[in-house]
Parts: sequence; structure tokens; C-alpha cells
Amino acid sequence: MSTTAREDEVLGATTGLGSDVVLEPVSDEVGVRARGYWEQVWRRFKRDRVAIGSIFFLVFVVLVCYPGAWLAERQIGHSPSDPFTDGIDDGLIPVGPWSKVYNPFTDEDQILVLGASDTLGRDEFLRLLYGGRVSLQVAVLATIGVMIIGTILGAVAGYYRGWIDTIISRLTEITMAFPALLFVIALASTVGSRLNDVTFGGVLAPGVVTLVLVFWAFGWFYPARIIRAKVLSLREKEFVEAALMTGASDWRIIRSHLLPHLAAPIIVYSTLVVAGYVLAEAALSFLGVGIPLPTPSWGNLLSSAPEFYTSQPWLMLWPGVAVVLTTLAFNLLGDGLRDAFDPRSRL
Amino acid sequence: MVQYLVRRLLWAVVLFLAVTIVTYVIFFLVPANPARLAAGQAATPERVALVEERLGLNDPIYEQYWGFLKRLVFDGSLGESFVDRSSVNDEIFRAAPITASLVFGAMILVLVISVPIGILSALRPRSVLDRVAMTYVLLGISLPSFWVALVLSYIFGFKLGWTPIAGYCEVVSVPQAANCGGFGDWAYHMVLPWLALAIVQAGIYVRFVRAEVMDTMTQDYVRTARAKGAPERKVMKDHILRNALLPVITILGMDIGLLLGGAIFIETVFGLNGLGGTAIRSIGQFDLPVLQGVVIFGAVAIILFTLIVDLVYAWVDPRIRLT
Amino acid sequence: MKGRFSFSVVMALLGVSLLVAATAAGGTTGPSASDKQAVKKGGTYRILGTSDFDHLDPALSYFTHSWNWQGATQLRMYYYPYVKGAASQRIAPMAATGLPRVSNGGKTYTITIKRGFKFSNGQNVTAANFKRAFDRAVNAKLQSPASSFLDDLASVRTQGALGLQITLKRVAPDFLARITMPFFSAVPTSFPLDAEVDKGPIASAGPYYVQEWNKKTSALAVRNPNWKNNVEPFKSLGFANNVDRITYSGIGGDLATHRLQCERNEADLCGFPTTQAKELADKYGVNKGRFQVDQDLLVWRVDLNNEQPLFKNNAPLRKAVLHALDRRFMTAQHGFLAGKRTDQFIPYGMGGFKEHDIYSLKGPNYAKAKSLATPGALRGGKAVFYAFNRAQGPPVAQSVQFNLKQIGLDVEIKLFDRVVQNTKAATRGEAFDITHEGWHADYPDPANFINVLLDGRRLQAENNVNTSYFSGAGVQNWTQKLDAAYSASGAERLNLYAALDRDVMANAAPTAPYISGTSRRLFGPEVGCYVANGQVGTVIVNICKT
Repeated sequence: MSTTAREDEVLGATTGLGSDVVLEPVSDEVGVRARGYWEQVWRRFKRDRVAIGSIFFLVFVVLVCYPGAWLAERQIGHSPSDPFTDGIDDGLIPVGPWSKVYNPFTDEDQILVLGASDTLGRDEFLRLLYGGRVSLQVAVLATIGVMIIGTILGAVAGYYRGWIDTIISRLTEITMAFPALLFVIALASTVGSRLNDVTFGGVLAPGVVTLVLVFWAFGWFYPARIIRAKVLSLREKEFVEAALMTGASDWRIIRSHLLPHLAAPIIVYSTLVVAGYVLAEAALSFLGVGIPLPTPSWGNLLSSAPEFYTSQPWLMLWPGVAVVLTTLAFNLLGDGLRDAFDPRSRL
Repeated sequence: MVQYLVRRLLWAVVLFLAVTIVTYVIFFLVPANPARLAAGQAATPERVALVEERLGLNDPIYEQYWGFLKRLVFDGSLGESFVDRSSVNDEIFRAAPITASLVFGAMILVLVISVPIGILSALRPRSVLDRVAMTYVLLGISLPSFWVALVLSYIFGFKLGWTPIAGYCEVVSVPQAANCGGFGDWAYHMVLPWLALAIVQAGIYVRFVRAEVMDTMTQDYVRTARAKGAPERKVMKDHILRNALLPVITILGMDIGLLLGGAIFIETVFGLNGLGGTAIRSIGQFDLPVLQGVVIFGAVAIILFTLIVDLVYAWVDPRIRLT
Repeated sequence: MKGRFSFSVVMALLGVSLLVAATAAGGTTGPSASDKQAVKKGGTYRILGTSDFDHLDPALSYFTHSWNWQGATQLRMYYYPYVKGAASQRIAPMAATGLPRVSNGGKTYTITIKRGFKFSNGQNVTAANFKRAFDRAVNAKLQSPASSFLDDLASVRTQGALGLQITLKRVAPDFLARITMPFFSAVPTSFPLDAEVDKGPIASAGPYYVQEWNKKTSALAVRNPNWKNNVEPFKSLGFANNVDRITYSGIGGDLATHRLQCERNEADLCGFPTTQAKELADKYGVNKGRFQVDQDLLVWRVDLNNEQPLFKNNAPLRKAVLHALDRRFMTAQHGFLAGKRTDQFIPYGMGGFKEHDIYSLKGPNYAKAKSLATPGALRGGKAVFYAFNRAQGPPVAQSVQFNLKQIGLDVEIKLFDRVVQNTKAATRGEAFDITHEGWHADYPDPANFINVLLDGRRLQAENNVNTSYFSGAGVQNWTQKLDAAYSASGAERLNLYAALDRDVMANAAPTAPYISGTSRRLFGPEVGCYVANGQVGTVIVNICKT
């Protein structure tokens, strides 16, 4: 079949999520030479200031969103969902940064650091911090699931070949024939809305589970294809042959001979996929089919911004910058990791 | 070749069946009563029951699917809208040209941007141009497309007033009621949507073209050609570009298929009432036949373009049809 | 009766209807800049709307922006005149020779049609054409919304070519007002009784007719060639009919974009985002020609479900809710100049409205509310709110949620598309406690509010408009009072309705009205001769390009 004959090209045929790494040449020469290999990778990575900077930035984002949001809320004295009557002017326009609003419950004036976020006069600053939590939850959980499903299916298909491979490959092709975006939107807003209340006791924000599941359903096949191609080529290698001849079990071969080789593509691809899902969450929420209100997410904050773009353009700026910087950081980190793992990579 | 063709066509049919089955099943699960919706706002319970009967909603789901498939394949009918009882085919025929205008125009622009940049960048790795190009690539994959679209519409449409902000003009059969029409108006209204879609898409293509060209340059046949003393221009044209750009065209074909059902964000921002807008609207109103119609149209587009790409590829590269 | 709410209000908040049509009582206000400018004949009047017409067949058309077109294309027997001031509130004949002759103890109306009106296809307009409208309205298969306005219709007969005799089952003082609705326009007898006419050209007897309707894209109306302004019967109507063509486009577009198109003279009438109303008012002034605001007969309210466990026979908690709401904030969510805060069911400007001052309009009165919301009354303190997911739906719901949290009621908001939310809330027995609804008068009579929305005898399994499911508990002899007010007339009728409004809001508190709305319109730079009409919105037959 044609599809196997031009594996590489097909792998790149994606408009969406993290489609760029898939063309990475599967370089077998960089063999797993025990610790030496990882040391080399680390040495190369350390020198990459952009990638290190990205890591610091991402750690900063996580700190700001997790303990940060909670601390800020305690410090400021109101929650991200408290409406403020004087957070809007008489034209229904949210007030600008550093505005004073009256809190009837504490009977004192409070400062909205970045102004109000919407026509309810809620605190943009707090919503940005809490929104980051949601965006990160969606992106990270979606990536973990997609990578696990993709790696298992890809490895099984590549290792066992034969009819298992045929089934998995055909499944992949069928999934690829779906207009994924339309399906994601249709599912998220219809069937998925039943799951909006699943929050695992408040650990996740409402709607996160829905988005994550939908992303899993349509995202697994990219990693599956990469891992399959990689395993197919590793399968032919002498050390696998040798292991097979010594009678090692399949599990043992996969664990100690294949997985170490797969670490690099998995790590690199994951970082790029995370970036893709940060964008995807923002995009779906922008269309109003992502995270349900009143839960803040970066996409939700962006979607309410355009109506104020003549009056309060900064409302497009804050969440926009948050999304762009975060995706950029993940992408730069991914590039850095790839260079570290394979300095001759051309992408 | 014939055998390959038949195999490929059969597989396309399998894909089509798979997509329609899944689509049908999923929309069957939607938490709303389809007959209630189909019967309309003012319907009595008796009428709802009647509609239920007519739509065959009392039959087992596989029979319903079979009926749906028969109508689709033999009558070419996607059914009628629950909301206004209009034909879904008409809706698709109205919306598809709009989305197609957007996608094809933007993809041409993508090629115009990415091919020269990608090639130059591959020929001079680590040059200033290459670095700028790689930065662009990074931005292209990091920027949300709707955000780019909003910013473009804000700057060029709103602040500078160089282009219309939104709307679509028919090229042929312009209705009398339309406020604009003809090729000029059409292109003028499409400039910003094309740019917005192309800017984001082109990033990926620059990277891809660059990689393909670099990869091809190290191939044996290129070295051989050079060793034989072929002029550099000829090597570039006949050996490198020809082979490097073929895969690009492949991806392009598949992306076009994908985008025909998925250019929703750009359509939304620029008020293009194409397939994406139709899908979003029908989701909100639980207008399942229309949603289903758009999804199936999108899937057919993907299957069709993949098929075309495969066939063209097989025709150009004889090795493939032998495998 | 069904009322124009489910469509017009749905559409208005979806940003669909540009024209939240006012009803005749409010009529017209404000001088139009064009009064001073030269009136030009000819040109095209370009309307932008984000959503298509529901129908253009007068028997089915019910969206606000569809009625706007019917105003230009249809010939009715009676209408609320297209003038400013008090005269706009008195029903006048359009195709009829005069007011009907009423006999049979007020149950039979005899109407004579003027000779000389012609359809765009050349046919003469006769009484049979109006009879056709009634016949189509009551046809079960056509499912016209008009059928709900004809519950009390006994028979319609023609008498000769131009006479029409309508007999009712019982006395109905609002009957004449009802037949001013565009449903009862003259239609060719060739229009099928049980099927919609939706392919242009659609023959009609008004000054214009629909030549083209490209669904989900655009529509075009042009002059009725048989309408002659300078001879009778046309002349005495005094319609200017300045523009040659009327177009409708912009479907699927974005309100912010439409606004800019009107500002750049790419269109003549546009919608705009609520959050830009202030900006437009500052830029063009209010009622100076470009940005027009008219009092409307429209009330938005938060309904409490009187049939679900939480609020059933629980007047103290319902009153507590009405005390706790922040009507100022909720009203603000509709945007600048969107209307006045209210705590009453009958809108400002409607006959029968009297200021009663029952609940606080300034902000929540938590002290009063908390004293009523005892643990017993709270019944566990959990409520489900069906809200819609666009425009002011989410912010209003969240404002209510916040207010009620302060009195110990936890509100869970469920968001739906407007049409879905409305359908669900209209189903009796659906498990919600609170829902968000608006009602727009079909014709200016308090019966169109009180009797239609608060009479428990009208409740059915589905498609209810009484979404508070109120049937009178808490007000003594409610149904008798309803009937008495309905069949009364003159000043007595209005007094009775005012008393009903006070009784129901103060004693039973089944629902929480919070804004009595206006309609706001943005025009392009070349539009003049603006007059607003309650039923058809901007009077297109009067509009001129300058």
C-alpha cells in the first residue's frame, strides 16, 4: 500500500498539532551507549540558552498558576468569580488596569490590578492566573494521554507487525479521514457536555475532562505513527535480533532494548504537542465550545476580548500574550531537546 | 496500475463507510430529542410522534443508518434541516464555495510564501535569512490563528481601512440582492482571510520545504549528477526541486482536504458564512442533519484529496504502485 | 396565544434582529436629522442582519426583522399608523374603508375593503384575499403562529367582493389590535392553504414585494408596480415609498463588523454589539438620526418555576429572591440605553402600567431578603438555572447566582443555546428552578402580557410561554380577575390590569422582571426620514436616502 511506501510524507501531513517534529529523521547511529548518550544530550542541552530559558519560563508559569493564583486570591481579598458593580462603566465597558472598585462585603475599596475582564467587572488578573491552570491542565493531560495511547499502539504495531500492524495502521488511516476539528467541536459541545461536571473532586476545572477525552480520541495517531516507524526500524537491528535469539521475552526486549531508543522522540514530541494543545484549548474556547463559563481559561478570556477591541484593547493583549509566550516556550524547548538528542536534525 | 487503482478506490469506500457509521452513531447519542427538534417549535406531541415515525426514529439504529446510507448514496441526499426543513444539500452547496475560496486561495499563498523561503533557507543554513525564517516558523506554530486574524482585521480593516473587514461576494450568479459581486469584489474581500490563514499555515510549510530540500541535497543521485559535471542550476531544477517538492504537494493535497472542513476560526473572524460557520450554528441549534452533512462533506473531501494525491503520486513515482 | 417572544427575543439576543421591534404604544420618539435634509427619491435601502428571515410568507413570518419587511411588502386591513406621537397608538385602517361595524353583542365584525389595491402580480385585492389569510392561519398543517391568536375565532365569511364578516366565540376587546399583525395581510388566493410560499417573487399587495430570497444569503424587495402613490386608495395612506429597492444581507456576519459597515456607508441599517452602544451614542448623539433609541414594549425577566419543589407554594423564598436581585447590574448587562430597571410585569409605556414601587431598583436588599429566606423557606438551598449561552445570558445568570448566594441559595447555572434553553424551559415538568426569558409585545395591549404569560389555564405539556408555571397561587381569585380585566374596556380595563400587575408582583412574586427595554438602531450616513413603529420597527415605506 502506498501509505507505507511514503511513511515520512504522510506523517507530516497535518495542519494542526505539533506536526513539525514528525519528519525528524530516525537516526539510528546515535545508539544508546548507556550513560554516555544521556550525558552527551545533557551537555548539549545545557549549552542551549534559549531552551534553558524556556524551561525557567515554564516553571515560572506553573508557579504563578498554582500556588500563585491561590496566594493572590488570599492577598487581594476577592475571588476570580466575584462580580463588581463598578468594575464596568455605564457603557458596559470593563474598567482599565489599576482601577479601584468597591467591595460591599468587606466595605472597602479594592484594586483590580489588570482591570476588569468582562461585563461583570471581574478581576482580569485573578482570572488570568486561574485561567492558566485550566489551559495547562487541558494541554498536559491531553498530551500525556495521547502519548501513552500512541506509544503503546505504535510500539505494538511496529514490534509484532503482521495483522496487528495492519489493524492499527488501518485504524490510523480511518481516524485520519475524519475532519478532526469538526468532530472535536461537535463532540465537545454535544456528547461531551455531559462530562462537564466531572472534576474529580475539584482537582480539575469543569469541562477539562471533556476536552481532554476529545483530544485523546483524535490525537493518538500522530505519535502512534512516529513510534511505529521507529520501532519498525529498530526491530531490524542486530541487538534486537540478538536478544530474540537468546530467548528474551517480548516485554523484556521492549523494555530494555526499544524503550530507551524511544525516549528521545517521545520527549521531543511531547513538548511540541503540549504547545499544540494550549493553542487548541484557546481556539475551542474562542468558539464557545471549550471550557464552560464562568470557569476562566485563556481561551475564554480571549473569546470575550474582541467585543472590547475598540474600547479596551489590552483585554486581547493579556491572555494573548500568555498563550503565545507559553506555546513559544514549549516549542523552543522542544526544538532545544531535539537538537540535544540529535544535533544533525535538520528541522 | 489498474490493480493499485482498484485497491485504492476500495479503501476509499471503506473509509467512507467508517466515517459515516461513526458520524451517525455519535449524532444519535446527542442528548436531545431529534423528533422534537424536527417537528418545530409549535409542535403538538401528536405531531412529534408523527415526525418520529416519518424519520424512522423508532426503528433500530442499524436500520436507520441503512436508510440514511441508501438516501445518501442513491439519491445523493443528506436529508433536511431540523430547524427550517430546508435541504442540507442546498446548504452545503451554498457554503462550500465560500470555504473553497478561502482554502484554495490561502494555499496558493502558502506555496508562494513557503517554497522560496524554504529553498533559500535550505541552501544557506544558519544564514540571516535562515534564522529569520526559522523564527517565523516558530511564531507560525505558536500563534493562535484566530488571534492573527483578529489582529489583521483590526489593523488593515479597522484602523487603516485598506480592506473590507468581513463579508463574501459571489463571483458568478451574483444575486440581485447582493451589495457586491464579481471577481474583483470577491478577491478584495478575500485578501485578509487568505493572509490570515496563509501566515499561520506557511510556517509549517517553510520548515517542511527546507527539510525536504536539505534531505534531497544529500541523496546519491544529486551527488552523481554533480559529479558528472551537470550545471548547478540544472541539478537544482531537475534533481533537487523536483524530488523535494513532490512530497510538499502531497501534504498540500491532504491539508486542503482537511481545511475544507476545518477553516472554522478564520471563517468566524471574517464573517464568512462557509462550512465552518454552518457547523457551529447547527451545533448550537442541535440541527443534526446539517452538522452531519458538513462532517460527511469534510470527510469526503479528505478521502477524495488523499486519493487524488495517492494516484498522482503513483503516476509520478512508479515505485509506489509496485509495492 | 403564543406571542412574539420566542422568535423576536431569541433573535434579538443572538444579535440577529437588528430591530428589536417596538410596539405601537411606544411608537416613535425623537426628531430625525433628516427632517431638515432634502428627501431624495430612489436608491437602495440596505439592511444588514446576522440571521436570515424565518419566513417571508406572512402566515408564518414571526421574527422581528421579518415583520420589518412585512411592513414594506404587505397590505393589512388595520395598522398602527406610521407617524410620531399619540396618533401612532390609535389603530387606523390600511386596506379597510373605516373601522369595523361591530354587532352581535360585540362578537361580529364587519369590514369593508377599499377598491383599487392590487397585488404585484396584477390581481385585484378583495375580501377573499384577507379571508385566505385567516384560512391559512388556522390550517393545522401550515402551523402558523397566528393560529394561537385565533382561539376565539368562530367564522370568517366574505360578503360580496369587498365585505368580510368575522365572528368570534366571545367578546374580545383586543381583537382589532390582534388583526393588525402582519399574519393577517392580503395574500393571493393561489397561496396554498397548507404549504409555505418561500420562493421569490412572492406576490404581495403592499408598496413593495419580495423579488428574490436567497436563503441564508440575501433578499431583495422592489416596488410593487401596481402601487400608485398619487391616486386613491393609495394616496390617503400617505406612504412616501422613497427608495426603489430594499436589500437584506450580512447573514452569518459579526455585529462589530456590521456596525463598521454602517459607519462606512456600506449599509444603511446595522446591528452592533451591546458593549458599543455607549461609544455610538457618544459619537452620533442619541436620536439625532444615526443612533436611534425608542422605548419598546419588551420586558426581560428571571422566571421562578412555581411547579418545582423549591419555589412551589413558597412565596417567602420567591419574594426573598426578588429582594436579593441586583436589577441595576442586570439591566446594565443589556448595554447602554437598553431600557429602564423595573420590578413590574407590564412594560413602561404600555396601557395599564402604573408605578408601584414594590422591590428595590437600586441594588440588592439583602437584609429584607435574608429575613424572608429562612432555613425552612430555603428547602435545602439549591437551585438550577437554565440560561442561554450568548449575549447577556451568561452575565445575567452569573449576577443572579452571586446575589442568591448571599441569601444562602446555591445556584447551578446550565447554559444552552437560546433556542434549546427556550424549548426546555417551555416543557412542563422540566427540572429547573430558574430560567431567563424575555417577552416582546405582539400588539400593545396588557392582555398580551398578563393573560398570555400568567394564566395557569393556558399551561400545556410543551411550548409554554408561562415559564414561571404560575397559576394564581398567592393571589385571591386570580383567574376571575384575569377574565374580568380581559373583557373590560376603556379606562376600567387599564385600571384592572394595573391592579393585577401590583397584586401578582407584591403577593405572589412568581417571576422577577428586571428591565423594560428599548430598541436601539444604528443607521448609515445617508439615511433619513426615520419613523419607528411598534410592530414593524423602522418604517421602510417612509425611509429616504439623502
